[in-house]
Amino acid sequence: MPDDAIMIPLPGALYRRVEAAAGADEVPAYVARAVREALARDEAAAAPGAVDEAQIVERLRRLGYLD
Amino acid sequence: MIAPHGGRLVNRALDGDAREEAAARAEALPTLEVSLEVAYDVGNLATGVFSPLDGFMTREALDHVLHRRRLPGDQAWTIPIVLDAPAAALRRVGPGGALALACAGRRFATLEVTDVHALDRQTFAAATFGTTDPSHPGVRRVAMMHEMLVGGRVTLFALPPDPYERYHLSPAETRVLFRLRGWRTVVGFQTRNVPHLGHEYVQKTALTFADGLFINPVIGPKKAGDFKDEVILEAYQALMRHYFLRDRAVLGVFRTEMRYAGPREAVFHAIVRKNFGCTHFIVGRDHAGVGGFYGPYDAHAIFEEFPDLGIVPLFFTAFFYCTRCGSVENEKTCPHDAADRIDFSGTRLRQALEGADPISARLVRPEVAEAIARFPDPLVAAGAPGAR
Repeated sequence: MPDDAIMIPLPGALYRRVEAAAGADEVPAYVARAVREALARDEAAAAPGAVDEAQIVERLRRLGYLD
Repeated sequence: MIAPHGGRLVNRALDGDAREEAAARAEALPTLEVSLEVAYDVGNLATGVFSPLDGFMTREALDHVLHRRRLPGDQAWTIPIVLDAPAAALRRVGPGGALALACAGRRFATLEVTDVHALDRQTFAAATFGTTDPSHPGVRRVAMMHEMLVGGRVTLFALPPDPYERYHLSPAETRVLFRLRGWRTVVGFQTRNVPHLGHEYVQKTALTFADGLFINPVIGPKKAGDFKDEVILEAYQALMRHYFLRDRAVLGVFRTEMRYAGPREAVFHAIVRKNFGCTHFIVGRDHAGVGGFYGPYDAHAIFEEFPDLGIVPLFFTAFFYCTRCGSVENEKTCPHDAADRIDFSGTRLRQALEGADPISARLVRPEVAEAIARFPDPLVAAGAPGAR
């Protein structure tokens, strides 16, 4: 593994594709692209927006979790 | 913020007009009465605690989980999340149909039925618990399940009444909370016990390297001899009030039942905490174990099968109180003999709580012991309602 390698969590199928490519000197471009795309999808999916944050903050304050 | 398991936080809980409309539609559906524990798991499915699951497992999903420890979409998943029902209750329902789910006579959710299949108790128990021995509480639980399983997506329109509502946070809420506190790394701590000095040592060791700690006790049916839910929460409140920084630790409950599935349950617990927004998860000795059914570090080894889990397990070995060190230590940190060490056994803990001997009293913070002592009967009794 190169010194500047970054360990990142990957979906299972993707992980196995990366693992299969691990024998190569470099990770193929299509794998790197797939990884970037999967991470971007995860980031987008994880971003707030689908929930009413103001409502959440109000409840957290009411329960004493936030000042 | 760490992505939820499967990349998307499930939200099948309705509010506003949609809630009223769903409740009205449910009145026309065949109704399946379920236990409070099942009702809470519907809540877990609908609010993303069990993401990416959005309903009870179909036969295909269950087969994948039992035999491959993964969902059909290839995400790691180790514990069956199923809805059992008597065949007679399902006579009017088939794939493509829908059921209203009721708890204590009150409808609270609907289920879009994908499939109905028979429960294979032997396979279910052997794959989940690694045993079919009826002395295992999980195996006993499977033996008591109804003969059919119903798979399908749930929609929640009314949360069941919750005596611990004050501690009940959804993953959407914990994620907002962690972000507002500025926590980039969060350690999740699973427990079904009152805290002693050993737990505090593990929590603070992990917290030293993270921004925040999420103490997340399992609240729900437990086996006889475990501490009652209300005792666990009061004890933790006492500990956190006196021994943690207010802006570094959060207490919230995970409403589900203990399965006592050892290593499989350890992975499941990690996945759930990932959904709550934790980046790290503490895995102790014999995590979620019972009796001698699992090796002390089986729950560590299983994580090697899941390099794609997306949450970092923090493995802790056995710890003890060393009278010569005067502190909680482990095998890697303490050079002294066994004679100097006090294990955190159940017997010792009881002695500590009773104030029976001064050495044991060092194992539990006095404020925690006082909180527990306020309960005349702090343990789940054999034969108590819901006891496993």
